[in-house]
Amino acid sequence: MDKQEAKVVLQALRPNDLNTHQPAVIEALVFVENDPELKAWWEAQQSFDRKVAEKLEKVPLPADLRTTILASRKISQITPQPHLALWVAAAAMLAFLCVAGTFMQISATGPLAQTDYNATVLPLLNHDAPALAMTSPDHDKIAAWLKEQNAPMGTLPAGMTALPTVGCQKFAVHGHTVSLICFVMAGGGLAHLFIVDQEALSDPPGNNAPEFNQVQGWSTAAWSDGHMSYLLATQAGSDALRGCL
Amino acid sequence: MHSLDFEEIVDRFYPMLYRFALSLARNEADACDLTQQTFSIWATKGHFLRDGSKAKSWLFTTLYREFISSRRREMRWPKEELSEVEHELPAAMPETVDCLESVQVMEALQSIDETFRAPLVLFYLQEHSYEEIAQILEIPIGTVMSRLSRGKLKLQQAFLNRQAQADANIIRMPMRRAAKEGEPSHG
Repeated sequence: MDKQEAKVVLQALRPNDLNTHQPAVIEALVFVENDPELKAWWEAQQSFDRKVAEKLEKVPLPADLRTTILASRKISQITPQPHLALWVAAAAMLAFLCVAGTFMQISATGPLAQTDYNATVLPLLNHDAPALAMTSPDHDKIAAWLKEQNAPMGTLPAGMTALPTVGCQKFAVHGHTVSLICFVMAGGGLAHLFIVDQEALSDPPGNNAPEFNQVQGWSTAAWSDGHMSYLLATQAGSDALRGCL
Repeated sequence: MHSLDFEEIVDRFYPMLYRFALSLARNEADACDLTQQTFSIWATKGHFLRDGSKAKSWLFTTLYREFISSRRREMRWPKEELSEVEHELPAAMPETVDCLESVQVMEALQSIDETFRAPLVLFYLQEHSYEEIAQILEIPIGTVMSRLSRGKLKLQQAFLNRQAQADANIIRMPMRRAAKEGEPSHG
């Protein structure tokens, strides 16, 4: 090993992390002890490394990242991974539902009453843990995914544009495509927004102001804007819900 | 770490994972996605990892794989020997780092070729030995050493370039004013 090779090895080491069984490292450390110039070079290098590490440690973190990660966990946790046998059973059930669903859609045409719509979509939230097709805190990525899926995507209220998203999904309800976007609220709870074309509802909510309700243990707000109708639901209470809008 | 409690793991590792992700992805939104996706995978698969002490390496490895996967192109890792590294390594410049903000240091790291950036950031996060870095990036130890060495050289060059740019801006400003003063007035 020459001096340059010793320098290359030393660059990979930290003073508090010298435990090694690598002969090259041991050789480089012996080299340092016998060469004052190399020792001085290594000390300067360590000082440089320490300062860079200190700066890196101060790179600011996004304020909502931790909350978003923990909210995602909540969803993942309540949606356990089934074993292979369960996958097979689920696939069989899915095939059955597809066939059954075809017939249901034939017999279930026309718009839904708002109460029926609520009663259909709220259970999809699976007690605050919906299955999401894609996860991202980025609104643009959520919008891009929904667009790619030809799922409805209207205009969010100003208060909601500032909330980080957890992810999204699309459903077919009564022959209509429904988008679902999950948000992390300021207090840390989840808010779920369903978006559907207004034509899917026989009595869509009004355009002027959100209609607040309590449905099946959910605090909800419903409104229409343009061609779309929106249903926002949370289990964090009506005050938290109003805070989103 | 004995317990694999999710919240503890998030609190312990998400800052470092995010900073690693930010250095790779070079923008905040993608870095958040990568970090969130990594913990999402942990939430569904982490229970298979019985040895909690391996959580750290598992998370960094997963994040790096997710990044590579998101790039949708194969990474080539040519084997590098110690002897291939530049012969003249410059003296380190600790004082140069003092003049920079943390965000500028991150930007300098982001400007470095990805081949060198990943081991360099893992090294500076101070959580991994070079042996662990080799495991996370799935490259030989000798390659980690040579990339760290070259990476530091490139980082020092990036700092020098920034400093030169800053100096040039300081010099250019009065010159611009002088030129403006020399312009004929209109009206």
